[in-house]
Amino acid sequence: MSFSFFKPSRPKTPPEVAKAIKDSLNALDTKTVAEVKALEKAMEEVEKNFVTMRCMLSGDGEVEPNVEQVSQLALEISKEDVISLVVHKLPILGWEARKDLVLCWSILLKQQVDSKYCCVEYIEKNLELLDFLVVCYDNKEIALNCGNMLRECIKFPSLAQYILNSASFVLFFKFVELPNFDVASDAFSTFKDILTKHASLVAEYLTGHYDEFFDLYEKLLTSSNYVTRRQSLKLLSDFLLEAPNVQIMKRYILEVRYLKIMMTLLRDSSKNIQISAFHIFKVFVANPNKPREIKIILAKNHEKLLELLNSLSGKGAEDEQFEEEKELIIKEIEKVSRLQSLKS
Amino acid sequence: MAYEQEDHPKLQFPLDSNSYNTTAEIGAGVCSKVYTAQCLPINSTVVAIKSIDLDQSNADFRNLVGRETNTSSLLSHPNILNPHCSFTAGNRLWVVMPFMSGGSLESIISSSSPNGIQEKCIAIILKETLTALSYLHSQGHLHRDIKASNILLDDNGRVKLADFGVSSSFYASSSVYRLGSSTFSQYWMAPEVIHSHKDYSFKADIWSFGITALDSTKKFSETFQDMVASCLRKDPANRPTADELLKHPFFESCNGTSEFLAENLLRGLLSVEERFRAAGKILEEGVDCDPNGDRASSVLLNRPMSSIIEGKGNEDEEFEVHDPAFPVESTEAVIPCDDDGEEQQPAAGGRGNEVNAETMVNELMALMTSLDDQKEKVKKIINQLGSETIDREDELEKENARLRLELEREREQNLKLIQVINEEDQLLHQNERVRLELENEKLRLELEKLKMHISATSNTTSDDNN
Repeated sequence: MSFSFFKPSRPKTPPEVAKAIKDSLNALDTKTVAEVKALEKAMEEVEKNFVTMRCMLSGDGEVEPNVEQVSQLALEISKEDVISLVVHKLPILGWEARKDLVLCWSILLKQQVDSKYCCVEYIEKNLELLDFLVVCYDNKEIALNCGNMLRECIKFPSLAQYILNSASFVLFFKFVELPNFDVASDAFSTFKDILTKHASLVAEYLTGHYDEFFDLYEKLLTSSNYVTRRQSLKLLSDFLLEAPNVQIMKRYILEVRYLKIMMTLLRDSSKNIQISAFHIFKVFVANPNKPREIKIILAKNHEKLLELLNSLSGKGAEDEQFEEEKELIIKEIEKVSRLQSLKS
Repeated sequence: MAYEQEDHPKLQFPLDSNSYNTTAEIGAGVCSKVYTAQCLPINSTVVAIKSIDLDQSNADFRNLVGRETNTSSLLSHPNILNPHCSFTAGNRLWVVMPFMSGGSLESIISSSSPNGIQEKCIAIILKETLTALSYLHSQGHLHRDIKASNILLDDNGRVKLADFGVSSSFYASSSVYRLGSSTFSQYWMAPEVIHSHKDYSFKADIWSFGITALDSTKKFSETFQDMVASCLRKDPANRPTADELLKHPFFESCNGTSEFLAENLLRGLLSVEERFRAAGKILEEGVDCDPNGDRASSVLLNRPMSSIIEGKGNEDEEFEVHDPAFPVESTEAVIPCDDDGEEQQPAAGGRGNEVNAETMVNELMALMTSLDDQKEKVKKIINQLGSETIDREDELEKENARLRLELEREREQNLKLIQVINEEDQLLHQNERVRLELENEKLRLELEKLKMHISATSNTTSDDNN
């Protein structure tokens, strides 16, 4: 649907646009649901203003956006509390308006005025907006819009850090398992961004919330949902095996409980899951500093493990390295199983 | 809302497999199957379900969690097929879509008469497809898998571009198709880039569109040829945008309606299910879960080259009609001459099979020789008839000139196609190389990582020992 015919009569300058958006969004409040016509009219006004904002920020196909106007609009919007207003009104906006908003959001956040990200700074002062966006994953209609907006926010360390440490972060463990695949996988990609975009922040968080986090994560790894198991396992190796998380990793591979999870996943009906599990399992085994409990488990199960490992094969180009590692791991398990000290 | 007036605006399709009663298989790929099904809680509404085996995908799982399924719900256009919903059932992803009972353009082509589909119908279908493409591009989006099997028709002749969000791009290695200047996400282009004409990624869709057009018909009109040729220009910068292409005379003059399609194309065709059974083979869809798969090549190998060759045959027949005086000669002219007999064999054998670029080049070379041969024969005939009346001679000269022009055009077309093939070939090699390089890089990193852990952990040991 094209709104291009609205263009001529619209507000022209960035302050006018910001004000028009603010007024039209506020006008939504004064209309009650009973006034269907009036509400529709108010909504139309919002949509028109969003189109104006979009054209100012991203051009209209013929005219390139004016850099000065773009930063001025970003400034006005953060000054006039428009950011807070659009976020809170998001659930009642229409499809087109939400889409325009998502587009503008990514541009606005990136604007630097006097070497400051004015919109990001606004959000830093109004962090509850992030919680609001996270909770929106529960609303199927707007979940994907919010997901996009959240991922834009997560690009900025300060905002990512807030989400990571906020109470709403645990909601992701629920959202990634929502039955609606679109929403669940969008939530997962946000979850993944949070855990991988800023490695040192994540390392700090995991150090402080080790037990709490891995308790929750265990539920994902042992989920009955195939997609959850596969994604969470892959993500685990993505962040656990990153350099800044090496202390977390060392702690993780000492725990019998997590070894057992990996052993269960090695036996998963999915070959992909088996292979991903191997890449974490191997670290437990290769650890030269294995605790006695880990050694006992490996020794007790060595026959089954060797059988499993022997039947496991990599694919394509990964083959050679996989086989190499597998040999190493098999040898280590055999060595452990022969240890006299473990026999009681 | 006004823009959600599509089929079932507020219907919530259930998110569990038990709510659907599958009735027939209508398509199959390497790791996916397509069924018709009744949605039991919603008055047994007929839907199509694409069931994808997620475990057969070797590709990095990250791509699956890409924004592919999501994007479809962020798009709304009458010519784009939006899935109702998707959910997982065990190792499979179920994508529930409106059932398009007219089937895919590919299945229509293969089950329609050997003379192909009339150009008027093709024009309507291509125009609708192009409208969808133009919308996608205006939204900063690439389709990346335009092909006849992704163009679907419903009972009423409405055309929808499908496999958007559930397509092979699902599994394709995004790095190969990475958009240099994309910032919004991998598949969304930054709005400031969309209109800047600095990025030619969109032109790849135009290319595929051209190939799909070629693939869809056997007889080309001149405007059609011109339209396709513009899509297949070597330099992407010279290819038209979707919007520009819509203004091409071929589409400008196309005023057909979906009713026309329903009446003239769909009526009397086998049902989608029957077509699938008749095909008795896997639909061209293999790229779905083949991480090595190269879509460009699959589009190319789909059928187009063989149909071009068949096309030539048909034009020669037309030539026969124009010149009824020499039916024997002209028929002979179509048959490859003896010297090149061997080389020309594949031209017939290649139909419908996968053909590699090299054989194609050979075939086209052979065809060119055959055209030269025809030209010689025409000359000979004209010489023989030198003693005829002046009127006759005039007529012949005109005819000769016409033929010469036609031959010239054919030759140009052939050259162009050879170029196309060579390019494709190069692309294939390049993609393969990029893929291998990536693979190597990944392996190297893995190894590095492992080494690091082992050294890190052994450090700990020695620390502890001290």
